Formats: sequence, C-alpha cells, structure tokens
Amino acid sequence: MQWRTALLAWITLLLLLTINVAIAVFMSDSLWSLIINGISTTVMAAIILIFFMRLNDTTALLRLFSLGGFLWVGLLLFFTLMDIYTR
Amino acid sequence: MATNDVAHHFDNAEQQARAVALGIWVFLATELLLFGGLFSAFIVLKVQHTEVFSEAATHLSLFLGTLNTAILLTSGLTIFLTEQALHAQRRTLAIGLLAATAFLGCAFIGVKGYEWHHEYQQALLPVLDVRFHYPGSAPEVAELFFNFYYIMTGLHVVHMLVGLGLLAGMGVAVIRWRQPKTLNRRATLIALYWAFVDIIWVVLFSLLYLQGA
Repeated sequence: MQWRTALLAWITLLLLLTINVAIAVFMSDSLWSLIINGISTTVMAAIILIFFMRLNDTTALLRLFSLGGFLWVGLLLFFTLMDIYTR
Repeated sequence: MATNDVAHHFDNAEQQARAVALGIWVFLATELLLFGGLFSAFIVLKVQHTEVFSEAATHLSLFLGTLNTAILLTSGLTIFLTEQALHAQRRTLAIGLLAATAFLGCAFIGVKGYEWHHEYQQALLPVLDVRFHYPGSAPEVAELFFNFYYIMTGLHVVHMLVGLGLLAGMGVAVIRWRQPKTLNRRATLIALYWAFVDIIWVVLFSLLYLQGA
C-alpha cells in the first residue's frame, strides 16, 4: 500500500520539522543545534527523495542521475568550505 | 507496435515512461545546480559574517516559515496521492487531491506574500530603490543577507507558480479524462517537480529561518 508509506513519510517529515524548530529555539547557542539541524534537514530531503520522488522504486540509471545532481552540489559546497577554512 | 498512448519513437509505454522520468531528472539536476550556486554563495557569506547573518535572521518570522514548511510538506503528500489515484484510474479522487495540492500551493504563496509585505513595512526590502533601514549592527552586511533572502525565496516562489500552472493544466486534463494513461505520465512529471520544489524549500528554511531562531 503506497499511500500508507507516503502517510508515514509525511508524519516523519512533520516530526523532523518540529524537532528542527524546537532545537533551533531551545538550543540556539549550541554547536549541537547546527549539527542536529544539518542532519535533520538532510534526512528530510532524503525522505522526500526516496518516498515522494520514488527513488526506492526506480531504475539504477535514474538513481545514478538523481544522486549525481546532489553529489555535484555536495562537492561544490565541500570544496568551497575547504577553501575558506584552510586559507 | 505503437498505440495512441505511446509516441511513435518508443517501443512500448514502459520504455516511454522510463525516458520521461530520465528527462525530468536531468532537468531537475540543472535546477539543483542553479539553487546550489545560491546556497554555496550564501553559506560562504554566512561563514564570513556569522553574527550579523544570525542577527538578521531573527527579523524573519520563524512561525510563518514553519507554517509554510508544514503546508508545503503536506502538498507533497497530496500530489503524491494524486499520482497514485490516477494510476488507480480514480478520477474523482484525483481531482479532489489536485485541488487540495493547488490550494496548499496558493496558501504557501499567500503566507509568503504576507511575510514579504510585513518585511517591506519594516523597511527590510533592499530592492528597487526601496528605503532599507536595518536597526541592528552592520546594516551593509545585513543588506546582503536580505538580498539573498529575497532572491532565493523569490526564485522558489517562481518555481511554485510554474508548479501551480502545471497543476491547473493537469486539472483541466483530468476533468476532460481523455487518454488516462497519458495523464499518468504527466502526473509523474508534476509530482517529481513539486517534490523537488519541496526539497529546495526545506533547505531554504534551514538556511534562512533556523539559524536566527
């Protein structure tokens, strides 16, 4: 039943949103807040990709293309930040 | 042998569906690079001006940002269910879910418009020669933050408007109910595009709103 999986994914997304906001409000000065928000946002994006964009039920070629796009943006961010922090 | 539902250059419907999905994913990858450049530039500035950017972010409404995120995530569910309803050939349900998605999309834009108007009243809109008055420290750096805020959220709203246009076209096609198998493919394309716009907003929300909470 795909609608049941989608409903569970949606509830999980709302829970993660609540956690994200609660941590940002109550732990705003902590480094942990930044780390947990980063992880939580990544997990939310992954849930949308896997369940709503159906990467769990597609061909290997499509998975390669979709993850390739995110990989290039990840590399762009990684090398840009490395340049800043190593100067 | 091609049928009415399958374009002549494809062997069968499955091959066409795979090609359509690959095409939209390639398009979404180019969109990702567009937003990726903006995200990178924003993060670089955020690292260089951490305190001013965090202070500037406190002028945004976390409540409205959270509300909009919940609205968009819910619309992600309804568009996914629309696609499922069309695959199951349930026309009435599909029309209802499409209408719900369009309503949620409009609600998102309405909330965003209200938020922009509120920021305009606070003189925090540094575009089109509108007077920019920032009450905190380093207003010239804060102006950079608000420039990025309007460019990124504005570009996102443009994508939402395109999505709403696609939903309207889809709604008309579903009401007419000609060639239901073609509708399935269109629904898949629109659902992928809408979910992508969801992801972009989730990242924007984290970058812009949560850092100043």
